[in-house]
Amino acid sequence: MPEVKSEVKSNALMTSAWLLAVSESFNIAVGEAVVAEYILQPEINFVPGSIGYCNEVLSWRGDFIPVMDISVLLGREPLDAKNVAIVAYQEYEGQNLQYVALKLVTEVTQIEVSDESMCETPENYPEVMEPITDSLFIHQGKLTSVIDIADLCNEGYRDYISATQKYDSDQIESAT
Amino acid sequence: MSLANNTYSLIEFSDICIAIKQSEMLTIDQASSVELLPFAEEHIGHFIFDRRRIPTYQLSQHLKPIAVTSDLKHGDYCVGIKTENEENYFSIICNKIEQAEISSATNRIKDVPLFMYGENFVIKSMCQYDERLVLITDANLLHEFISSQQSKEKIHA
Repeated sequence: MPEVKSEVKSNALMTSAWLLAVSESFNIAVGEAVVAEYILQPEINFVPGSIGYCNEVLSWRGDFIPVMDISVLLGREPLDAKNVAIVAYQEYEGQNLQYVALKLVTEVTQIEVSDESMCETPENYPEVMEPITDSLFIHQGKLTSVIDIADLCNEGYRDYISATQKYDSDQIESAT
Repeated sequence: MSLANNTYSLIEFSDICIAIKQSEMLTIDQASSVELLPFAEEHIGHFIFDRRRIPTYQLSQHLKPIAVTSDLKHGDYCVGIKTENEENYFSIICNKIEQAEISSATNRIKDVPLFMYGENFVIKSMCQYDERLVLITDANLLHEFISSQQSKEKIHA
């Protein structure tokens, strides 16, 4: 994976990143080199039987790549908006770049992030995001999560989510 | 996934196209030959083939999260399918069926990433054919899928 360009401004280490609004109230940030393309209204195909937060694919550069809806992962309604950012990841060093499309609420925005804007994990931070969150920072007053895309696209994480959802539904059933 | 050049049957539903190997096909007939069983819980009717009653399923009802009507439409097809060991014969209703030569070289057959797999995942791989997405599966997977959906429905009932 290419390294994200960094530069020193004042005393703080500044890093370029893309801000992705993956839900109405949840923003993530990924490294500058991670976003391969931003696509408006691509044709998206449903894949039956696949997991709820990733049950579609789109055709991109002659290949089909998964489309992920993090809003569903967060337990919210699926996004109506179909604009997507194609992001790259590697599961291990030397692997060919893998791609996944993330559904977005708004356009992608390029931002500069400094270490000074880092913050602690708030108490009400979504539990499902914790295993894939590298760090958190505040951008324009909003909490923004730095997500590890390779962890997001890992079957171990899928299993964790499935188990969590089952656990939740068991809790609900026993409560009723 | 390496697949040699193979003849597949493309089975089209309203907005999904699945492919199974031609060798797993039993027969294709107009859906009007299905004897409907309106009160049957497990399947919508029977399809007669080789003097056997083969259960007919409205597969799209299970494939889509939102159930579609089980009414048969004029022009629908009933596709008979057999599992590899020929233990199970079943049939499904679809909108259209066609034969296609699919190869990994020309159709870019790709495994579905493991992190997409849900419970009872029915797709083996996907490919592009005539600029559309084709989901490759097989008779065993389809039969297991239908059986599991029925078990779920029984539990809910």
